Amino acid sequence: MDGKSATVWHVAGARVVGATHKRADKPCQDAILWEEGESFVVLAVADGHGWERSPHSDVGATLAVEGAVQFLSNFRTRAISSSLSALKHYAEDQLPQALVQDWIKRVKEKAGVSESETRSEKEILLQYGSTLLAALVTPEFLLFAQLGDGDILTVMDDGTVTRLIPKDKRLIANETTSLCMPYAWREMKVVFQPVSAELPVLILLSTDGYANSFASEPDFLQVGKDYLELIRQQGLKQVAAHLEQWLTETSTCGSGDDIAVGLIYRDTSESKR
Amino acid sequence: MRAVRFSDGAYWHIAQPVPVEQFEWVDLQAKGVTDMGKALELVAEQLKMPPMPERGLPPVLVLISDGLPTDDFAAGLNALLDLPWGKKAVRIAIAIGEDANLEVLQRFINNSELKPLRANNPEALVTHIRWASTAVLKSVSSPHSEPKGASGGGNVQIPTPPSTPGGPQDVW
Repeated sequence: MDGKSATVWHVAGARVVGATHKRADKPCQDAILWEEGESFVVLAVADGHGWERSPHSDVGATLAVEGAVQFLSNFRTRAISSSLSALKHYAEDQLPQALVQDWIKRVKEKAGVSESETRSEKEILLQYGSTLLAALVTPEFLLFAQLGDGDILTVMDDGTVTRLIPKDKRLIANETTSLCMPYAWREMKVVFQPVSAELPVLILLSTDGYANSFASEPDFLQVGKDYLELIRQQGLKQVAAHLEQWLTETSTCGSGDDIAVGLIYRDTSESKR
Repeated sequence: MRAVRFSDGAYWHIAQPVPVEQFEWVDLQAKGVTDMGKALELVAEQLKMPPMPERGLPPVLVLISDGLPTDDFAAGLNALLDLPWGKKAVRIAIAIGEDANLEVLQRFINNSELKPLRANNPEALVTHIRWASTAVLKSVSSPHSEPKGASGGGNVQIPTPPSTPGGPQDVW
């Protein structure tokens, strides 16, 4: 095992019901799920649309993160014997469609779609509409996928914060691309990064309720640096213990929307044996 | 909340945004012509990005008028509806007086499912404004997302307006 494969990643995350959703007695429509494997971590967050035509979007978001974590975990297992170039090719060309199809299959199962179904598939999927952001981190590569609004930030050792996937300029107000759209996979952005000398020390995935709570883009990007400093001072467990409270305060003072945030931290103080 | 007044020209009547619970109306006197197009252009300027953010809750625009513009109303309306936030805004019109031109107000609403509200007396006007600043604001203030293209770029659904007092006294 070389130096790179000894890198240890840990995950923490939380989701909270938005302040306005609490007042309206609505369920949390954001979902988060992760898995820490022997040699990888996978994390997914999703944001159910929550408008009147997507009454089951909280379920749709849950299905999205469950599907993504399971799919990427299996992908990792299969990837061990593949070359990086083959993996990159698959990730960029076929993974989006596979993830979307997996979600559609789960929704149909959940919705109990039968041969005698009278609703159109489009209408059923819209009822469960959700975004999806996912990250798979392995000793050999980092893989990120995003469909819809939300943010993936990477933070380097020196505190430099980068938005990995640029904001979609077509989306204003509350519009988003979605798993429920026709040909949704065409809208999924994928970033495949072979592990190089310089790895991020922190990766942050969040639903749009988080960034929308900040007055400006620089204010939002600053949270990446702030989390890194907090984790270095207090440890990831301490940060994880307070995360829900912080996110609740952020929603209350900010967007009022549900928020889900996941953190993947590269722990340089330990190595796997 | 902010407010524009228009007669001979259009001006910010209440220029700085005020939280709705602190909003106090400053009375106006009806006079001069009806530069509605200029008023819409004034609003459109504020719906550009910036100063508007790219993400956020849709604004609510309430047009209170007799619907009889004397300037280039179409130019103002186009300036508004050409903007992404102009399209996304919830647009409500309150027609003042029995002889109001509803067709003009309907063009402002730009949604055949919503009709102008009629205010033929002060009580009805108060009822409509109260509804717009409470029930409508509440319904647009619940954050949600919409799949791109699914709503045709339209507005959020708004609650049904209340019935209004229609007494014969003090009719405009």
